[in-house]
Amino acid sequence: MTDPSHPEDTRLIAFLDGTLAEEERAALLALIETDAALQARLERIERGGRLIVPAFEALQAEAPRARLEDLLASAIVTDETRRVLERPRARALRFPRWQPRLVAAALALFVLGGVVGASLNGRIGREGGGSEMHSTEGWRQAVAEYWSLTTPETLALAPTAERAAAELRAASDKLGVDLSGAPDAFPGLSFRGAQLFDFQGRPLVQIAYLDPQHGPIAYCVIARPDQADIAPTTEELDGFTIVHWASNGQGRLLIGRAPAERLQALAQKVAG
Amino acid sequence: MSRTDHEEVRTGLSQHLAALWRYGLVLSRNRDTAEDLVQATCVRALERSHQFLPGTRLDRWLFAIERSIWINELRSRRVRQGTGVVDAEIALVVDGGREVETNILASQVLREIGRLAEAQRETVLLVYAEGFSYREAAEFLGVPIGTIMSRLASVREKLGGMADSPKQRMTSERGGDDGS
Repeated sequence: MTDPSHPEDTRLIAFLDGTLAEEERAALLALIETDAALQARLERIERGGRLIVPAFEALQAEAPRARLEDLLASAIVTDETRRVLERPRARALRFPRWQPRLVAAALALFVLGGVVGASLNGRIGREGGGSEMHSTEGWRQAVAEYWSLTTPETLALAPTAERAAAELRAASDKLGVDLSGAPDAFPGLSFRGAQLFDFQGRPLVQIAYLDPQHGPIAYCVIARPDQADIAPTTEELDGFTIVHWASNGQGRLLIGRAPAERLQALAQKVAG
Repeated sequence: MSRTDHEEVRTGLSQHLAALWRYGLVLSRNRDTAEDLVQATCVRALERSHQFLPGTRLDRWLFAIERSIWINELRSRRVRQGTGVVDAEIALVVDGGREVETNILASQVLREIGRLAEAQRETVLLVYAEGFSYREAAEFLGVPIGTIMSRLASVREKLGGMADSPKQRMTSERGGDDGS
């Protein structure tokens, strides 16, 4: 509602903002000539107007840009996750114990982890027996599903050295394997953090890397005390190349959209 | 949904983050809420990217989403929590660490704006900082053009009075006003 005590305000504003029609402008100027109060109000409004733009510019310069970029990155992951979950559910029939919501939550934690210090513990799958997910391939399938949500943007931020050390310590403790050398284990790959999951009651550690040439690559280790050793084996799963092997009661794999030779060469750095 | 529209929204979002944050801060007068608003706006915009009309202004569309989230979801929550007013002066200032004259004045002005009613705060932001025409602002806020101009005059007049005696204003007590 316009202010009844200042009926000329709309004209004054239009005049100052240069949007007043020429004849109205002349009439207003004539009125101002004879009305000192109106002239004073015009001057005050003019003065006040000059302060606004610089103040709002200064405010925008204060925007926490890095944090806002992180918020956007996490919104993009949330959106990508939703899109994956809304796809036709053919896979759900093949893997009835797959828990997409938990993966989404874990993924959100993964992305937000560096920002808000969220828990290191995610969870893939759930405990229980008798499903296909218990098969040898199950954990690799789960990793491939999860990794399909990861983009270079997901891994845009490298963890701080302290955070990386804390993540690897937690993962090493849970798994009973020393993973402290993981950041430098693969020449040419940039370490992007470790995350601890639970796959059907067994600890599963996923260590993320960014390959400048081939994008996200993960190195995963799962406790499999009952499993016989397997020599490094290459397979394709959901468009990913996977090299997996087992030794000393652990299953291990490297996964990425990279040529088999690349992953095989990387596997040699940590296998055996 | 067209993948291209989605990409356009996704790419465009990153260019408007600071503006969305500022609008969120002017609405809520709370920095945490401003960040919540930005995140919720990003999520909602990506979710609804198929509704964005290519060739129209993305920033206007994002502002409309942010405003609707504020009005329908966050404002009431903040009122329930009783935090609607208290931090007006904490939020709307610029970094006191940089004691340059421009920032001192900007902080005074923002503090004054922080005391205004929500409708006045957002009108002045949209028109003078975001370049909305009177008509655009009127349509966006669902009020007559005369109301927009009257709000602008009223805010500018208040700020004009501040310019008379900035020092006195600087030390004045806070007087939050969350009405609209």
